[in-house]
Parts: sequence; C-alpha cells; structure tokens
Amino acid sequence: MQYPQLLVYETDRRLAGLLQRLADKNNWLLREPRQLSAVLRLFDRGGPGLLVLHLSRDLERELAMLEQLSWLHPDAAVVLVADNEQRGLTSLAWDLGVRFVLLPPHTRERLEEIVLHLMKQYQPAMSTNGVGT
Amino acid sequence: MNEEDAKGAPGQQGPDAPRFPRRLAKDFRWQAFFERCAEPVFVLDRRRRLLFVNRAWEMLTGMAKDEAHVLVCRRPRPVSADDPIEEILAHALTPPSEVLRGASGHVRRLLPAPKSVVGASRWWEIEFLPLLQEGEQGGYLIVGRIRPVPAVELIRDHPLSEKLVNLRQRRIERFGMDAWASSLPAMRRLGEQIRLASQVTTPVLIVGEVGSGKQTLARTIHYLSPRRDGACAVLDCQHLPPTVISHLLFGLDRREAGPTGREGLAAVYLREPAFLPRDVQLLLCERIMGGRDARAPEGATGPRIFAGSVMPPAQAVRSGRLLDELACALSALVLEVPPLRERLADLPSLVERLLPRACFGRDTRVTNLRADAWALLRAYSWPGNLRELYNVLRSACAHASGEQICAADLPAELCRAVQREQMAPRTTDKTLPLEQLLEEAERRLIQLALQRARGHKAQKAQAARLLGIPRARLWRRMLALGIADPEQEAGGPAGEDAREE
Repeated sequence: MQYPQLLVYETDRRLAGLLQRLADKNNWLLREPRQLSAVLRLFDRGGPGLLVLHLSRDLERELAMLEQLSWLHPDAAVVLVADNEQRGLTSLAWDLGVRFVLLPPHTRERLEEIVLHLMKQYQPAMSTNGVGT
Repeated sequence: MNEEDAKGAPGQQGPDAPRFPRRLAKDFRWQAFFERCAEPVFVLDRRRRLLFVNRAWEMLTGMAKDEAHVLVCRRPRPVSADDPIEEILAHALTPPSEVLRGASGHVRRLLPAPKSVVGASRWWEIEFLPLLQEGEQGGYLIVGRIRPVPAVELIRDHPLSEKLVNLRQRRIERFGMDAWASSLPAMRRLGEQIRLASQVTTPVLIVGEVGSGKQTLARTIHYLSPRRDGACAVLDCQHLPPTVISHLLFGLDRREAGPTGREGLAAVYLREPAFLPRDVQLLLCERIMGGRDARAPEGATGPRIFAGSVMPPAQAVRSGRLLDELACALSALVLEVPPLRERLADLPSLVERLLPRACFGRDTRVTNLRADAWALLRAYSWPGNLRELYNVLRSACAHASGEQICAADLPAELCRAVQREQMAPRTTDKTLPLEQLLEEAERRLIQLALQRARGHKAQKAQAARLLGIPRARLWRRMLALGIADPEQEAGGPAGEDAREE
C-alpha cells in the first residue's frame, strides 16, 4: 500500500515537529528532504503528495525548484510558509502555483487545519483514474 | 506623422484596403509611413528577418538600422544577460506561434541586458500583426510594435532579484496560446473566447471535465490580459478550509488577525466554488457585483475572479450546492473546454508538446511514439483528459528504453481499458430490437403480477386485475410469451394452499 506523502522542507525541523502528530494519526509518510533535488525525486518516485516549504535565505533556488515542481508535477500541492510578508515574493509564489501561502502567525492549529484539508485529496486514491503515476 | 495618423491611414484607402500588403510590398511607401511613427515599429519578412525598423526603434534599442538588418528573429529559447545583444533582440522580437499561423498576438518579453539595450526599461510588450496574402499559409509580413513597460508593478514595493523576475517570466511564457492552438472548430471558438476574455475584466466561468485544463486556461487568460503584472492565485474550494479562503478573498478571519497575502493578487481562480459555504458564496457574489462598478477607481475592484467547475452552473444550482446568485454572477462569460476524447485530432500536437516535459530528467530522451502506441492512445477514451495523458506519457517515458515509446511502455491499465472498450460492442453498432424489448418488459410485468397475486384463490384473475387487463388477454399473452400457468403447476387454483395443508 502506498501511503500519502507529506514532505516538509525547512532548515530547523520546527514545522515537521508541529506536523508529526498529525502525520502519525493519519498514516501519512512524513518526509524531510534536506536537498531541493530530493524533493523532485520524491515526487517522481513516491507519487503525489503535499509539500510544506519554509522559505529560507536561499530564495532563488527554492523558488526555482517550486517552478520546476509545478511544471513537472502539476498535481503536487505546495504550502509555502513565509516568515514575513513580502508582496513581491507572495505574488511570485501564487504565480508559481502554490496552493496556499501561510504568513505569520504560524500556529499549530492553523498549519494542521490547512495540511489536513489539503491531504484529504490524496487519501482515497493516488491518481484520478488509476492510470499514470 | 504621429501614431494616430498611422492608425488612421489604412482606413483611408477605402475599398482597396484588403489589398494593402500586396501594394505595400511593391512601392514601399509604407516605409515613410512607419518611419515617423512615434512608437518603435519593425517589420519582419516571411523568413523572420528584420526588413524594416523605424527611428524610434533605433533609439529604443541603440542599434542602427544597418546593423539590425542581419537579425533573424527565430529564437523562442530565453536568453541570458551574457548573450550578445543581437541574440537578445532576436529573442525579444521572435513572434509567437499563433502569429505565424496568421492570428495577431502580443507578448511581454524581459530583456536581460539593461544598459546598452533599454536603459531603465527592461520589459517590452510587443504586438504582432501578420499581414496575410490570400492563400498564404505562413504569413507574408509581420508588423510589430514595441511598447516599453516602464516598471513592473509587481516588483515596485519589494523588488525581486533579476533571477526571480526571469523565473516569473518563464512561468508566464508556459501559459501561451500555443497550448490551445487547434484546427477543430470547438477549439478555434475557444481560442477566440480566450482572446475576448483577456480583453475584459468580467468574471469567467470555465466548465470542463476533470483534467481538461481549466486552471491552465484561466492562467492563459490572465497572463494575456493587461493585468498580468499582478499574481494569479489558485484556491481549491474543495480542499482548503473555508475560513482560509474568506480570509484571503475578503480579509476576514474569525479567529486570527494577520496579513492576508492578497495585496499583489490581480486574479483568483476558484476551483469548484460550489464547495464554498453559502455565506462565503454570498460574500463572493456581492464582491463580484461590486467589482463590476465601472466608476470604482482602479485598484479598488479587487482581484478578477475565475472559476472552474466540472458541472455546468445550472446543474450545480439544481443540485443545491451553488447559489443561484453566484451562478449568475460568475456566468458573465462561460468557456467550455472540450474533453480530450472530442479532440483526438489534436493528439499528435499535444503529445509533441507534452513529451519533452514528460521525459524531463530521464536518461533517455524520448522523441516520438511508435505506431502501436499511437493506435492505443487513439483508441482510449481518456476519462482523465490532458492530466491523464501527461501521466501516461510520464509513465511511458520512465519505461521506454529507446527514443520511441512502444505499446509495451504504456501503462497496463490503459492497454486493458482499450481491450475492454474494443471487446464490448459499441452502442452505435448495436441494434435496438423494439419488439424483443417490449416482449421482455411485458414478460417481467406479468411474472411480477403473478408473483404478487400468489396465494390468492384466483391467482390469474388477481394478476389480470393488477395489470389492468382482461383475464382472457392475460391468458393469451402468457401462452404467447411462454409463461407457465402457476395454477396448473400447483395443481389447481388453490393448489399451493392445499399442498401446504
């Protein structure tokens, strides 16, 4: 059986810690890739899922990966977590196809609510019709 | 001659106007016509070489007329700041594919060489107008007009780095009209609707099956529209909490205050708005109605609303999910995306377009499909539409060993589905024997009536009463249809009762 995967890309394990309980409860495969290329590989091999991406200082590489991800895996859902509101960045993120941009405050309840709702689409079946990835 | 004169001039030719390109090629009076035009204008010949540039073009680019004549504008690949100025200009002036097919079009291009080319302005908006001769396929001349965009609204407050601006531009260029180019009447009509929708600001409702490209269509319209500098957000009404959506759309949040992140939004695509709660639907309806006020100042109208739905709006209203008012507000412009099974003629061009993406990052580069694989793709009904086609190609590229995909590389599920469809008789080929169907229905009704009358002293008489026909007719029909008499089988009118006793 293929479990829905929840990928968390960040530098400090804070968000993964917040989502660990939820992932355990719902039988999601929580993965914490350390490299951006690994994110693409996991979507390639593990099927669709949700990526929670916490923007760090390496903005250009992270957003370039996001663009590539949305191009190659249009079904992959991404929640972008930003530490402060930058209009240009937020707008760019929406254009790159993220499902939601989470701005502060990053409370556990808010994060869990969004992730839980978005993960629902991957629960019953891993593809729309059984053909493909 | 200013721009207004230039615009008015073709209209002064009266009945000769349709023959304008032919005359233009002969006597070259058009050079003087464009030369004094205030805006940078250029003309490409059929091989996309620069045939003419005006003085404004020279001033904008910093390139002399004589140097410009060597440029061949056939470079769709983006350029970088390291490329020579000729390459950068060749890319900027390359017409999009729909222009080569004879339609007018406009693009926005980012010029990565800032100093020698455009000074402070790095974005160009270029309008292309092909001048066609009768029976001409590729276009005779292409007239282009450049409008430098002084500043990109998106980056005014919080400047993005050049790499990120280029990233956005690359993303925008993925949503061109090429994806919707087709010779099919329904798709050509859709193409015209896309152009129309990009010129207006009304809400657009896009109806189509799952995976047919509704979201791509919404982005295409937005990035063709004058508001393309602002972002386009996609909100999944089915899978996002309603509070989050209302927070983003209206700045409402019942529990927490905080930034909404909606300031830079110029368009919002709502996926399946019927899943929104009724109060949010009402608020959305009010906002759309308020946004239609033409007297409202620019910027006060909020983001333009696109909505995508699998179900036609009338059906969604009947099902009770979508408010009638919201359906009306969204239906100002309804675009229907045909399912893939109705545009199988486009399959080769779609596959050609999707293949480089599907085999991206693979060791082997797949360039085409073998005949057996094509046959399978054409025979399949594609319930998942374009999304499924992409997934199938991606899976096939992973299995392909050479440059071509063969039938064995395609997913087994697809092959089985095609076999099932081919084995089952097609509905169109099946005969419809009315007599047999009526007899079958009659037999079943009589058997049902006899079953209900079971235990009654006069079972057949009771069954005839239930059916509303005379007893003699029931008897005749039972004989004709070969239905056994239950009274005789039971040994008399009250046989069963007697047997039970």
